[in-house]
Amino acid sequence: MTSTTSIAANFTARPPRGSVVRFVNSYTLPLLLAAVFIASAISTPDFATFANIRAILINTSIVGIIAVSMTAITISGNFFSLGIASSTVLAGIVFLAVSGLTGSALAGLGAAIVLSVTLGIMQGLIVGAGLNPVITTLAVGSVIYGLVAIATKGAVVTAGSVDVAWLATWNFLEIPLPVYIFVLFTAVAWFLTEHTLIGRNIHLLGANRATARNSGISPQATTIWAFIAFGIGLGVAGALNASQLHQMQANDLAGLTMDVIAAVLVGGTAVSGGEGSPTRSALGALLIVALGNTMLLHGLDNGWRVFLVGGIVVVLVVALHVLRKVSTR
Amino acid sequence: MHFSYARAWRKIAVAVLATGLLTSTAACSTSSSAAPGAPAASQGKGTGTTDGGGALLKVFMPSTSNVYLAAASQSIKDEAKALNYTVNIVENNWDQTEQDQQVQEWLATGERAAAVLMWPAGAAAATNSIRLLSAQAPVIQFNNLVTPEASKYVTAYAGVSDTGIGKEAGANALAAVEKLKAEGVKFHGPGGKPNVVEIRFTAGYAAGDDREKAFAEATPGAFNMLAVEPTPTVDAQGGFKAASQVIPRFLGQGIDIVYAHSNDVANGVVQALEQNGLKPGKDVILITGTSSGDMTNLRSGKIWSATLQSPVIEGALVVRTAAQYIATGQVQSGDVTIESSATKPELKVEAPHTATYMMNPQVTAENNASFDIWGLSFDKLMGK
Repeated sequence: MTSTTSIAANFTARPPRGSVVRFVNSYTLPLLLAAVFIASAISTPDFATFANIRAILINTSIVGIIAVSMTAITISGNFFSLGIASSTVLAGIVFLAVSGLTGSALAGLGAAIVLSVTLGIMQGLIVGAGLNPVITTLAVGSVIYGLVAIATKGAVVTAGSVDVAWLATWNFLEIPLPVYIFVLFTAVAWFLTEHTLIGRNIHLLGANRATARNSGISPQATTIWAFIAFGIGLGVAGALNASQLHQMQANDLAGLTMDVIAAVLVGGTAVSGGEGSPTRSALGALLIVALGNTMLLHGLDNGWRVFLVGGIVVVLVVALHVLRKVSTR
Repeated sequence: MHFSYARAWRKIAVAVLATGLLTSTAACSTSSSAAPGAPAASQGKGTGTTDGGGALLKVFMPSTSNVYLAAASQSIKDEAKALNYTVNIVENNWDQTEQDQQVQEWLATGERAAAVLMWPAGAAAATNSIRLLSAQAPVIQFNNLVTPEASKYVTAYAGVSDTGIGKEAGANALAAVEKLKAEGVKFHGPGGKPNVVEIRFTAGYAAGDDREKAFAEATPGAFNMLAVEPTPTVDAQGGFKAASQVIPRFLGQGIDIVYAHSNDVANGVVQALEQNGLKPGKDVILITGTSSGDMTNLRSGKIWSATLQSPVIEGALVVRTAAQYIATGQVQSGDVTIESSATKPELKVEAPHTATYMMNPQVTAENNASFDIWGLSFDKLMGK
């Protein structure tokens, strides 16, 4: 009997060991990131300061956590969630509300994660049943936004006098907690995606849905697992974001969805599924923030920064796509 | 022969239809000019009373999913009820295209209004909708200043003045500097000038342009401006995102003042300052525009001062302006800023000004609890 692992190995498109192309494909992003950091440190005053590197890490952490958690959805062949912003806002509001009611930020964090995972399971059930993930997540995002707007009447939600800020400001070696959570989250996601059965099932489902089904892998169960991972990331990110600012409102985080998708794409995860890694999504998020920061320190106008970061993302995504095609021939 | 007759009949039929269409169009035009809903605009004379007699005020504005708009919307309804007007509000999701469509759909219904109250989703692109509306009823614009292109179609403006807010913020910043100088504080800029970082509204947002310009004009040469950084979004999240990257850049030079365009944006700046080891309210003075968002940082003194921008006053003001125009059928040329009075002024039958601006007093940790404008506390003024 053929094991799931061996089938996954066959259908997960990986180039031959030792190939130069594979080396380039695997290490393009880390090398590029290193090049950007070195070039920026040399050419940009104040870039290599501790305060600036910390600012880059802080700004990467929230987007990075969501990008890492969404990678499983993309690898499983279910594209992206387009309800990221409203779901994160909901998680943040629940975090603040429950923290305010119970007096405990940890209780708020738990409630935010439970709710986000529940919403993830619901979406996973629908998408796993064969409905279009783009339409499903977009619709769920709209429903959530509407409900939040109705429930809050557009008001700013806070935790009242309860101290929730420590979740975002507690630091070790002057690096705040969200950065450590981001690193830990990435490590756990990498392990689960690359070294567990469910991770391999997710890869196989994205690489070839029919084969996965014939191998006894349940597309619905596998998709639900991917959405559960995503739900955990959303809950954590929403709580961290709300604790960072001590407040949340329905219209917050307007650009978050695109930031997360850009990070996943720059990380080289295949939109069609089957190929990708949470660590590369994390590096993608870091690269985007570092590029924006370098341009900011050079005094470029906001318009130019957005234009250039967008342009670099397009070039990177195309280059990685071409490299992948070449490496799998 | 058969074909010739058919063609002839067709031509006659087309001519009859065209004549009918022209006649009905003319009839429509005639009836619209005599529309009961727009007597003041079409006749150039007013009803002589601020009592609306149940007439309709049609309102086009962005979504009330924002707390400011929700409060402004409620205030419009309350004021209209007090003046015996009927209100119908059409919301868009901050989208001028959607608002344009809503305007055209409403015009197609043939409903008549005594006045249209218009908060353009994007003032620069709203001229055509305002032009179309102005053919049906007087248009009273609010919240977004009238563009030169739209000025001939807008009867009057009432509401916030972004220029006024920028000026007030500049005056507050100067006062803060004088106070600190008297206490012996030394500033970090060249010649002892305070180093200032401005966290402004999103690039291209007209309100941000006005506030930036007015602040600079109100503080000529007083500050050493280190950077003017736009936020990606006009909320605390956007403020944090912009400030958390721009503050480390100037830590070495010393930052004395941060001017943020709203209290909401400033809440994000507070977090960014603290994460960089600075104490807002002590190491850095945070001066802000609009008094929106969570007030915890303002009340604790981390935010030095904000500038009152009350949605309740703005909502009432736009309805009052419409009622005055309908009552008189006239507009006084020139701008006026209403006074901060403890009691709500009685509405007189007199022509409104071309532009009537809200008052923008300073809000601080010390005075926010004792605010009393139109009999309302600070929280009530902010619609809470």
